[in-house]
Amino acid sequence: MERIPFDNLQHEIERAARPDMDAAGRPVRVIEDQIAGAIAEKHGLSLHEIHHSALSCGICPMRYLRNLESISLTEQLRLSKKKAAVIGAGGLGGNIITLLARIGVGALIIIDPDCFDETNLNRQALSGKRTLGKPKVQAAVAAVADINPGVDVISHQKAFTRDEAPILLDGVDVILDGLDNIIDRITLQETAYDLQIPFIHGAIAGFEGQVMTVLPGDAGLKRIYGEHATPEKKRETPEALLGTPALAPALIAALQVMEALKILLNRGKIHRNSLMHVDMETFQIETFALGGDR
Amino acid sequence: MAVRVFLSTALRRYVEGYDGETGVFLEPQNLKTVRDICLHLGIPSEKIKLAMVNGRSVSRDHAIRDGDRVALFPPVGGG
Repeated sequence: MERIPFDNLQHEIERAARPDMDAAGRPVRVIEDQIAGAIAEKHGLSLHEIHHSALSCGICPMRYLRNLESISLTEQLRLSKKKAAVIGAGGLGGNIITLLARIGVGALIIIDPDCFDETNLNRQALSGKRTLGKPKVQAAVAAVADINPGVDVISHQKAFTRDEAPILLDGVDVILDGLDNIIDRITLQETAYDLQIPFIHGAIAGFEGQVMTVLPGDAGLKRIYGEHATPEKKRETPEALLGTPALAPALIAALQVMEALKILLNRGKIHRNSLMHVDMETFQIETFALGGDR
Repeated sequence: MAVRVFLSTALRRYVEGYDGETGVFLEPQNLKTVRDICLHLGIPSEKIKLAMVNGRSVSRDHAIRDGDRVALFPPVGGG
């Protein structure tokens, strides 16, 4: 396969693009995945690289047409250059991963040590008959390839550790919390601080959940769980007592991804130094002010 | 003096018939602090990680006032 100069590639993408309209009737030049994929294959490039080049020329990959104008073409281009890490590919993580893929974040790092079992089927978006017994990260890679092959994915079937983080999370722009216990979350926040990466916390129990964005230097989870969090007795945790039906992970994951989007695109107000609490049963979303610095 | 207390997730089981819409209405003649409210409701202190009054995080010794809206949270960690 022949690597071609960037200008020639852009020229080829320009020729392959066609005029279309978005849902509001506004003119947009688009390129379909099938054509973009053929160009990628011809030149030994990834679909991600073709999407990126198309967006650089103001051409919208057809799959992002319905993102307009909530996400502009310029923002879509910016997203295609970003890398997000999802730690945990279970209830929250599975939903986060599919949302990040659909929205077009350029690259994902996914870390989870576990395989799916039947107790995951009630809530974990990537679990199903075909993935039972299989590693969660394997299912995640397959799901992203199916939903959006324009997203580059690196997966690690291992438990997250602070020691390995500098290598595993190299170049990451935002970290999303898909973990299932408090101690690991505290470690993840500390790691995010080490690496100076924004961290978006989410947690669920029953039909309730919470979200908080933690920027490097924020007290973050210490204001929720205390300065010295100790392991909870697993059977006595709220999530053990109330279970975790599918609804809260889907909603909380969506809120986490919205926070990620705001960070990656530098727009809107992030929920920092405050805890957003959602009770789905009573339809209450409240924001509670917490302390600031570490 | 009257305060309304909202409980999150597993804390609700300490109050029989708890209604998430309305919370618990207390007219605490001798309840002065958040800690007093927790004791009055029979919620063990170690089960509560966060206490909020009128949307702000407070200590257990925070003095409550008429009309306060108190929210108590356990450590939620599911994912």
